[in-house]
Amino acid sequence: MSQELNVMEPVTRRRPKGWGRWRLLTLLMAVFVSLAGLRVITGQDMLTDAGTVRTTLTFAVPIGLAALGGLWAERAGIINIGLEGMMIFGTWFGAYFAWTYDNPWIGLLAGVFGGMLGGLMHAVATVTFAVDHIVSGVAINILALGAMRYLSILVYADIPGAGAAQSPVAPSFPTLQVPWLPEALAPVAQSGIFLVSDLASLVIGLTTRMSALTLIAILLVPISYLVLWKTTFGLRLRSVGENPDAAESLGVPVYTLKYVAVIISGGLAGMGGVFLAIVASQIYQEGQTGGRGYIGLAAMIFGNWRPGGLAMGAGLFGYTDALQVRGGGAAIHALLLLLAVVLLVVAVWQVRKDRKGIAVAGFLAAIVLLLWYFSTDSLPRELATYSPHIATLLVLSLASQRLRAPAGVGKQWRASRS
Amino acid sequence: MSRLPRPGMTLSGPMAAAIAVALGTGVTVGLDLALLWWVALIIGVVVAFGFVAWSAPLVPDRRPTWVTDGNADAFRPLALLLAPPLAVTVGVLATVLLSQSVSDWVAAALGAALGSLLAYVFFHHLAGLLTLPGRLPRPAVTLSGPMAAAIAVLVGTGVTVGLDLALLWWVALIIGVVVAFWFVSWSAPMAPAETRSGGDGAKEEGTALHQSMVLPVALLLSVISGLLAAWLFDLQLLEWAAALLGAALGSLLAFVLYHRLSAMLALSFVAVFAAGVLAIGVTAAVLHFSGIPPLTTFDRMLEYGTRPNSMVQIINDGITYYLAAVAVAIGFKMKLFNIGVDGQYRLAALLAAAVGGYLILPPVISQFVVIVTAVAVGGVWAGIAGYLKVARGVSEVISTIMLNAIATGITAYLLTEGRLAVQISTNNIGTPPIPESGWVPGIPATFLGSEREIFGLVFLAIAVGIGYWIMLNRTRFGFELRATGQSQTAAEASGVDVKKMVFLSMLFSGMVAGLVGLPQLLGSSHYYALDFPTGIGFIGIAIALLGRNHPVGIVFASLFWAFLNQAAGILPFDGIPQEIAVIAQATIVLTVVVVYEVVHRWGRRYQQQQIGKQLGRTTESAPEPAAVSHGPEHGFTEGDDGAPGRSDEGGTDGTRGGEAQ
Repeated sequence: MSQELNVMEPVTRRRPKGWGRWRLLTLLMAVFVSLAGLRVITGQDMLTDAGTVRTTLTFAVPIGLAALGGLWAERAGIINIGLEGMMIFGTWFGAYFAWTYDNPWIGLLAGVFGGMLGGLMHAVATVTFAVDHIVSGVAINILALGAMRYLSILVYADIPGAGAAQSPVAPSFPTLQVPWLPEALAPVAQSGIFLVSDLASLVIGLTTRMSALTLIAILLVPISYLVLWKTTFGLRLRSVGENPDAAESLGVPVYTLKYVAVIISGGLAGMGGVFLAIVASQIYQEGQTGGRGYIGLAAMIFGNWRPGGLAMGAGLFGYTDALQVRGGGAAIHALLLLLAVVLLVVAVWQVRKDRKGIAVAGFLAAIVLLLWYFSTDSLPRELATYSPHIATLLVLSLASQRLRAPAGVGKQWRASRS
Repeated sequence: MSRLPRPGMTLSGPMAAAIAVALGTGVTVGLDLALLWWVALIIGVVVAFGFVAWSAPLVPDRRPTWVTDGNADAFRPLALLLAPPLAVTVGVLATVLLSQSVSDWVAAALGAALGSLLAYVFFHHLAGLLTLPGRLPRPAVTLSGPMAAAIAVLVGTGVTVGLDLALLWWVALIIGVVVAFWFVSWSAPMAPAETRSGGDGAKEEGTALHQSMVLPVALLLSVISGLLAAWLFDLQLLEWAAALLGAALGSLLAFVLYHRLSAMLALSFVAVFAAGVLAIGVTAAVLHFSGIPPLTTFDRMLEYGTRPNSMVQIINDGITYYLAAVAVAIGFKMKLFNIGVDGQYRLAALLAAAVGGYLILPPVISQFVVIVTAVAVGGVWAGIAGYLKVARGVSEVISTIMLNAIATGITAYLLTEGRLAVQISTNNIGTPPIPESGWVPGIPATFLGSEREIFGLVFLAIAVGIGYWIMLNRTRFGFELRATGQSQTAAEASGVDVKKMVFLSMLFSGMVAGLVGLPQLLGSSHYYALDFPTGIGFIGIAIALLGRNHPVGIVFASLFWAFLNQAAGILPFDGIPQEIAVIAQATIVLTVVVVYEVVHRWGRRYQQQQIGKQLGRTTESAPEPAAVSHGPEHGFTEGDDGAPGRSDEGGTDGTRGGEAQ
């Protein structure tokens, strides 16, 4: 109901076999090559250096985890707008238990558990009582914010350096590093050759000082794919999200699967919260999640309810966030040029497909962007912060008709026996 | 409980009641040693209620109506929902009152005894008690409606004033309203049939649902409204005059509700009531486990929240919340989730403040221009989401969330010195203050006993509420809105342009959202600065849910929300986290939606059974001719009642409305 209003039937075209498998990789490579080209043209080294890669990961992981949480829930037919609240549970529990036991892994367990608690609440409301999914999610978000502040006031009352809005410093996860590779590649990265040095920076970024939790989070993407698409359990879970009546008639335990999916969803969001609290800042702060639960949901829709796609969505948010944090306006300003070129390509594409309106709009937007690019040197900081949101809105409005949500998502389903 | 085996004996009514009281009191006193007295009391009364339910079949001829009505099985849990919380509430209240004069455990024992007795009475005799005078002989005259209402008011007021001399005013008022209610139920059959047939309540009269659910709710509502009104009047008038007016209002409501309250509306009230009791319980438990005494906390909140200055603040906050909730509700009616009210009102308030601050205009025109700016900005910002939904199929949930974030960015960008902002104080920047001629003067709240002023834009909020009601119930647009919300395909099939409706309702929602910041802007702060309140859009979502998207329901919900916020403001002085109010608010939203779902499922099942029963009676060559003639008509009224009931419901209900068919 709250997804597409007017979905055009997806056009089934014959593609060469195996193309689907490589499409994601091709797209990633295209993005990477164009970023490398942009770096050479504009001279903004920050676009692809190792620091940006690392920061991107730091920003993308919580969004990606939230998006994975959204994926699990929505694949079982439950819209989980309470991800934000579940992340808040994760940040608080993660920081508190990591600090109390001086062990980040216990914090991780507690944070995941906290998120699962939120997921359980959502499941009870939406599955057992068939409450509207958005309603329950909004209530959980309100509850999480108030409850965690309440707990903070009680727990951190007498702790120096902590209080209603923040926790004491929690220990962090160990970081991983490949022994000699980064040193060997450093000169290559410095050389500034098109593509070669960019690749070297990428490898350096991925092999130095990576937090253990980051690795776990990245691994969760293929794991989710394998579980959801390559196991019987996953097939049943997705069938519940597509057509619960059919699934029920085949003896699939619909309620149980929905419960499991929403609780796992909460756990993943909670893990995202732990990442924010322990890895990104080593401290719980009120408002730390900053709407990342919602962004995660957007990234998942952006990624067409697929693990690979949502990872790309999270990457987009992470990348623009990282550029903004590291370089401010100048680097993002360079992205304007890329965006203009992409819009031009889209416009040309639309002309070929005889859709004049979109083509003209694309041309106009591209020209405005180009003018903007050449008339300024930098983007205002306030707007740069929100560039990922604008990008999401743009991409969704351009591509949302090619997206396909699980057919039963958002429905208040009740078993036929009741 | 009722599945436990029963001995093969019968119990007389008083005997069963005595055992229930002994059981409840005993359990309470016993547990009192180990637990808090109120926990012990709740457990005691619930145990007594369990006993009453278990022993019901053993008591001859004392069965409650819903037990004798064979078709009402589905409805039984519903009635059980109302009785225990009522009994517990009365028991707790009695204990609190008694504990001032006797020691705590004696008070708890007496409270438990009263609660247990009430549990018995409510279970067996609630319906009978309420219609008790109905067995009295009636003179053979007919009474017109207004006449009966006038007599009821006279009776209720007279009894109250008479008893006021001897008793506390509120006891007198309760008795007065109950007597008036009795009179109404006694005189109801004397009214000519044709004038009575208009009321929803009259149509359902005599059904088990009406007897044991609607009537208690009507009585409860009249008493509570009478008490509240008397308490409000008490701030201004002498005590006896306030009690008199309160009793008059309560008696009038008793008449109106007895005749007009429909089962569906009563169910909603029951849901809210049960959810309120549940939420209070959860909040008390949270407080208790944090080592804070719940009752003193509630007492403190109640005391602080009802101070005159607090009440003005509550009304002022309520105005803002009301506008936000109406904005959300317009979308909800269409099953559109306008999560973006937050961004819409902030952007609108900023630009409106800038217009008011930079353009120096003559008095009335200035306010007008500011309001129009706000409405336009809110509409445009929501219109983007509406357009994207209609033209590009983007989910409005996601697009409004993105637009919220973008609005935050734009306000931050515009609210810097050199763009729209100027220095307001040493560490605050904002738009230049609006000159005094552009303010909306406040209404002095001396009638509440406060020096402060109520926002003048309260009239704007009232106008929006009335406009929302008219739009929804009296215009074609509103009809199409509700139709689309309940079933998009059905609306489309009957010629509604769904895309246009989606866009327009998003637009209207945004236009109302644009107004949200104005009472604050034109009434008190006069500029948009960094400290302008944020997050009201999300509060609006919760309040719209709480008020079931109904223009009047939202009024109470927003006042209640503001009350909790304001009342909790005193708690930090006692070292209690203020956030307990947020926990209470979130709990009540969750419980209200859950209980509402549950209650309505039961209610609908009950209705279906009723209809099924009547259909069966008509087809089966009916034994008594009266039933034949009555059957189809009655079936029609039941179905007829469902329609207004459903139209009152929130946006969350449409699909199941279809499912029930």
